[in-house]
Amino acid sequence: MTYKLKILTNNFVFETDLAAKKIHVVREFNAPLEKVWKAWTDPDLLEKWVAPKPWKAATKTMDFTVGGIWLYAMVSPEGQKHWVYAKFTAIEKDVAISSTGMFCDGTVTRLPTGQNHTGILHSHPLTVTEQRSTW
Amino acid sequence: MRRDIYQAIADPTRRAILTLLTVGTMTPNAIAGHFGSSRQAVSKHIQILAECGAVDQTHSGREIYYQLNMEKMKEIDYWMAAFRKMWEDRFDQLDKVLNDL
Repeated sequence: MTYKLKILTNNFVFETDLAAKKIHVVREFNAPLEKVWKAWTDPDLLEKWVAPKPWKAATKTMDFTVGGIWLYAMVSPEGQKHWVYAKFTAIEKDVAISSTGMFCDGTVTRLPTGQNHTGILHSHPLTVTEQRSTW
Repeated sequence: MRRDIYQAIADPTRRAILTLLTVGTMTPNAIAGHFGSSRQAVSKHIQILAECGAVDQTHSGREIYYQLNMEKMKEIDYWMAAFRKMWEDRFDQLDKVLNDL
């Protein structure tokens, strides 16, 4: 009798480069690229995984285009909302997404410019690659 | 002013000094020799690093030597561990979403 072993390692990498103020994260998912891409770009799916439990994510608006905004809230069990404003700066379908965002009060309409913002701005360059494995 | 380890690494010159000190102990003069800025400016950075607890000083004769305080630097690791955990948990949740798709 043979068993198919489910791969439990996901090659998680978490490296910090303090000098460059960068965190490098790598993770493998046991799913086809189309599904992974959908989970990162469809707000209904994003809401199911981006918030740390017991917080939930709730989307106000989502425009997944270059220059478009995803405005959503992290909602606590008590209903307290922490708004996040994320702007998509580059999209290459099935390959890469770049976004820049910040916590905000839910009413902002643009990102702060210049060097004087208070350090809450963050950038997420995401690259997706697919590896097909054979059994 | 209250200092913490994050102020130590908030400045590029101070991060460079900390990198230098990973190799070994150094005198203020030796540290300053690595930078184009004035000795006073470098000295000020070293003073801030000491106030943050990032470096310790030892006296040997007339010289002062600075060394990294690794225990203090580890605070940053502990703090970053929370972010690592957050990403791990988040991706475990994404695993479930992908499974159900």
